[in-house]
Formats: sequence, structure tokens, C-alpha cells
Amino acid sequence: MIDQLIQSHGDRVLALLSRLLGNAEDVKDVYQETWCAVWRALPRLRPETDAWPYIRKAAVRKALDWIRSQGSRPVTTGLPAGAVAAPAENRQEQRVDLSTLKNEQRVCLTLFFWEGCSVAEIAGELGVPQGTVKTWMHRARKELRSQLGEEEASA
Amino acid sequence: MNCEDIDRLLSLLDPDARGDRGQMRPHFRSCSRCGERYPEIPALYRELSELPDRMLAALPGRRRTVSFAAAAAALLLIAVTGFLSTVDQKTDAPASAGTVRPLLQTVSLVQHRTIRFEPNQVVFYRTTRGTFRPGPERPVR
Repeated sequence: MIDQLIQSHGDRVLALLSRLLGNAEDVKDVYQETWCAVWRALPRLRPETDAWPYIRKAAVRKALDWIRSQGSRPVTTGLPAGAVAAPAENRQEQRVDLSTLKNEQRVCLTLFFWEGCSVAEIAGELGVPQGTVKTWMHRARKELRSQLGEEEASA
Repeated sequence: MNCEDIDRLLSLLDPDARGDRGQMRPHFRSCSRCGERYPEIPALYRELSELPDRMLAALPGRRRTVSFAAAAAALLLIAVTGFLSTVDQKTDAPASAGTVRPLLQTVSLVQHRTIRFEPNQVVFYRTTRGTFRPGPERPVR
């Protein structure tokens, strides 16, 4: 069964971890951790139900554990310079660099805007008050907006 | 989803409101008003969308973490250093990438933990902590 789960959800887990962690080497490690956790939980998973919610939760939890173990440093992409997106030509192509955000800010943005989690759910996952999540998201958006402002100023 | 919904959602006043990208992204693509007001959101979506591909593309051939090459490299590292572990290989190791052949070996870690790998089991390796975990059988790419 784990084979089928990895086949069907492996890429999705990789994508999620890429967004949460932003470092390719970290993603590889946490990817392992996630599937180990899922494998241990296999006896409790019902075959007839969608396994993705559990897998997603396991991936987020493992990513958060990893982030906590790494401290609150800004993430590094681990990508060669050529792999970073090129500067934007116009507003439709404007780029932001998520690696400048703190880990918790990046996680909040990813869970809210991409994974469709509510502030209450994010606060529960992170174990922090809802106000803290709002503050992190506000600061993250402010940072991203300042990047765009710098782009516009330099253009 | 309309502009008022976007305003309400991004105000974060409702802790149970969800940022549904399936509706928000199309709205930001088509609404210049929201694009002007919240320029960081379309850029954020663009980055979140493209990041996995860029990151994984930067690691050609290393995408699958449960790979023979990585497992073999971890085993070799431990065997060569001799500080952390000793590897007692009882049968033939996998001969080539892409296949998992019967492998029976015992890895003794520095913590004196001994894990036995049965034939056809794939190793979930952890180079960062020097531990090995047996995993279920699956094909290796």
C-alpha cells in the first residue's frame, strides 16, 4: 500500500515540502521522515478513505519539526544562481524571493494561500496564538511588498 | 469570489476563513484592482507555483530520496569511516541502480543499535543522524 501512496502522492508531498522548506536538501530529508511516519501509520489508515489529508498533515508536521530544529533562520534555496527566477519585466511577471522570509512566515503564507488552511488551523498546527499567525503573515506580506517596491524603484 | 471577499479574507478578521487558491488565483489574474491593491499576492502565487519545479530541477537524478545510489553512498560512507558503524554484508548488494536485489545485512551503529535488513527491503536512510530505518519493499527508480 505504501507503494501506491508514494506513487500517487509522492510528487505532491515533494511540492508541498519544497514550498514549506525552500531548501532542496532539507526537502529530501523531511520527505523521508514523512513517508516513515505514514508507513508507521499504515495500520490505522482506512483503505477506502482519502489518505492525502493524513499525508499532508504528516508532511506539515515533519516540516515544522525540522524548522524548529533548525531555528528561525531565513531559508536558503540551495539552488545554483542560475536556478533563481529572472527579474520581472512588468507587473504581471513580478517576482518575490521567499528565501528572505523567516521560516514561520513562509510556512504561514504557504499554508494559508496555497494549502487553503485557515488562520485557526495554522495556529493549531504551529502551536501559537492566532494573533501570532496574523502578525507573521502581515510581516511576510509587508516584506514581499517591499521587494516589489524595490523592484519598481530600481526599474 | 469578488473583491470584497478578497478584502475580507486578507484582513484575516475571520480566523476560520480559508485562502482558497482555486478561487483567489483566477480572481487576481482577472482583477486589476486587487492586483494593484495587493501586488504581493499574485507574485506569491507565481513563486509558490514555480518553486517546486525549479528546486527539483536543480537536483537531476536525485529526486527520489529512497534511491539506491543514496542508500549505497550512505552505506559506503559508514563502512569507510569505520567510526560510526561496521557493516557486515551477508549476501550480494544491489548490483545496479533501478533494481533492488536481495540484500541481507546487519548495520551496527555507534549507539549499539543493530538493524537487520531483510531481502528486498528498501532502506530509508538518514545520513544526517547516521541511522538507518528499514522500509517496505518498493521499486527504486
